Amino acid sequence: MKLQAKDLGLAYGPLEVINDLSLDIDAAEMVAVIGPNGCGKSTLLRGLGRLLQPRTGVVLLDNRDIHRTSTKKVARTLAVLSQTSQGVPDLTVEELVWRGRYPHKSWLQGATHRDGEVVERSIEQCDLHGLRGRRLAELSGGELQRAWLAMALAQEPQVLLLDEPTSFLDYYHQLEVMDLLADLNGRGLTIVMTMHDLNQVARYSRRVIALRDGRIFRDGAPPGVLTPEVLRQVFGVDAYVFTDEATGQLVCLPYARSDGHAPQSNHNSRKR
Amino acid sequence: MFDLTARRAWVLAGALLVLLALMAVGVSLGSERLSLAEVWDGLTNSAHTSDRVIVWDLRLPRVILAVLVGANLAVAGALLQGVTRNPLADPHLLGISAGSGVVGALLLVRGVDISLEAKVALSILGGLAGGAFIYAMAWRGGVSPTRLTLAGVAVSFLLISMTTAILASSRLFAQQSLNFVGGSLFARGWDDLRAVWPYTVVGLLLALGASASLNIMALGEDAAAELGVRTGWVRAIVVVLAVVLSGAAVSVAGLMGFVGLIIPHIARALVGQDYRYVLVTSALLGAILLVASDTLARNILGETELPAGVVTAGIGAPFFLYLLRQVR
Repeated sequence: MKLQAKDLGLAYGPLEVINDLSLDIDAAEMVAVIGPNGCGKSTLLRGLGRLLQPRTGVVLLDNRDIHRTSTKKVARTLAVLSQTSQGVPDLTVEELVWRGRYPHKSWLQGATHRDGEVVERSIEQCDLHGLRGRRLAELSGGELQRAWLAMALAQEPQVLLLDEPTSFLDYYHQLEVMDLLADLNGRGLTIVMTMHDLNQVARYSRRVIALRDGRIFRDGAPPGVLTPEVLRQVFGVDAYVFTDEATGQLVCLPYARSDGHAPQSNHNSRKR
Repeated sequence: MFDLTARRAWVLAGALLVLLALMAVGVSLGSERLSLAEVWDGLTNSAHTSDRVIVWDLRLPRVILAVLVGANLAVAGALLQGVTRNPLADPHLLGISAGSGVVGALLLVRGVDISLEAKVALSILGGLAGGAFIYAMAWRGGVSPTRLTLAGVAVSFLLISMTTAILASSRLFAQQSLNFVGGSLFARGWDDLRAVWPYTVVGLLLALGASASLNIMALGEDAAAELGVRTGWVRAIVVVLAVVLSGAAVSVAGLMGFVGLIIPHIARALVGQDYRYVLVTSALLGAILLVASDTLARNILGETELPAGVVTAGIGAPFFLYLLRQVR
C-alpha cells in the first residue's frame, strides 16, 4: 500500500515544522527517517499518520486523502506507534493488545474467534507471552514498547509508522524488535520509522530519509545517505563511515562535533 | 484472585442484591418504622391504609428516585473521568452540573409555576449552557482534556457561587437552601420520578453505546486517534450525555456531591478497566450509595432530616479511603 505526501506543510500553531515536503513511499518499503532533535521527524510521522492535520498539502494512503477517509477505516490499514507511555496503568498487556482490534469492530460488535487469533499472534510475535497478565504500570520501558507494538500489530496494518521503536530497549530487545520489523517487512508490511541509531538504520532500512530544518536533505539507499558529508551537514558531527569486515555492515562512528555545523533546530523537540 | 469474568458476574449480582435489600430497608425505615411484612402489605394491598400511604405514596417513589439519581451521577462521573482521563473528574467539580444548579436555584427562588417535566428539561438546558460555556472557554482549535478540566473547575466555582448567591438573596427557608446546595431528596415523589426516569434510561443506554470508544480514549489522545476514534466528537457527545444525566439528577436532588467522583473508582477497583462493566457497576453502586445515604439522612437525626449529600460524603469518603489502602 502506497503512502504519499504532496507539498505537505505541518505546524503546531504558528510554529512551522515541516515545509512543502513531498514523499512517495511504495508498498513493502522499509524507510528510516533520520535527523537531529527538532528537525521535524516525529512531526512528519504524526502528519503521515493523520495525527496532525496538515497546514498545506495532502497525505495520500492508497491514493486517497487520509483526512477525507473515515479515520477508523484508515486505522485498519495504517498503524502509528508514537506512544509508549503507560496509557492506563491498570490495564494488562493482553487487554492493551485487544484494544488494537477496535478499528475492525462495528458499533457494539463483540469479539470474534479471529480477533482472538490475531491478538494471540501479536502477543507471540512481540515475545509477550509471559507478560500478558502483567499491568502496564509494572512493565519496564522496553516491555512497554513491545506491548504497544503488539497492539499496533493487532490492527493488522499494511503500513506501520514507528517513532523511535528501539529507544528504551536493551541491545537484545532492540535486535529482537528490529528483526521482527524486518520479518514483517519481508512479508509485505510497509514500514516508516524515525531512528537515532545510525548503525541500525544502516543494517535494517533499505531507504533513508535525512531531514534538516523540516525539509528532506537527502533521500536514498543507506550507503548514499550515510556519508561523512551528509552526517556533517545534517547532524553537525564528524564521523567515520566504514564497512565492518566481520559483519559486512556499514558502521557510522561519529567522533567529534564539527565546527560551524551545529545542528539547526527550528522548534523545540516535541516528544509525547 | 479469581478470574475477572467470574468476578464481574459476582460483583454485578452482589451489587444488585445489596441494592434491592437496601431499597427494602429504605422503605421500611422512617419516622414510622414498618416491618418488612408491613412494607409488603403496603405494596400489595390496595386498601387505603396508612401503611399503604407511607409505603406507596411517600417512601417508595423516593427510594426509587434515589436509585435513579445515584445511577445518573455515578455514570456521569465515570463518563467524565473517561473522556478527560482525569481521576478527579466529577459532574460537580467539572462544572457540568453547575449550570443546572443555577437554573434549579432560580426555579426554587422564583417559585415558577411550570410542570416538573419542564423543570427537569430546563435544568438540563442550564447544564448544557454551562457545558457549552466551558467548551468555549477551553477551545483552542480543539479541546484538550487538561483545558477542559481547568475551564470546568473555574466555571464550576463561578456558577456555584451564583447558585449560592441566588439562594442567599431570597427569602427561602434556610433548610430548603441547604437541601439544594447539599443535595437532598426531601419531599420527592412519583411526579419527580416520572419526570426523571426517561433521561436515566436513555442516558445509560447511550453511555453504554459509547463504552467501546471510551475504552480506547483511555489509552491517550494519540493512541485513540491512531486507532480511529474521532476523539473530539466522542468527547463532545460524552460530555453532553454527562450533562443530561447530571442535569436530571440536579433538578430533583440539588447539588448532590461526591457520588460521581468516588463511585467510578470503586467500580474500576472491582471490575477492571472495561467501560462496559465500569458503567453498569457504577450505576448500581451509585444507586446503592444514594439509597443508603438517603435512608440514613431521613433517620439519623430523628425529627429533622440531613441533606443526603452530607451522608454520601460521610459514608463514601471513609469507604473510599479504605479501598485506597486495600487495592494495590
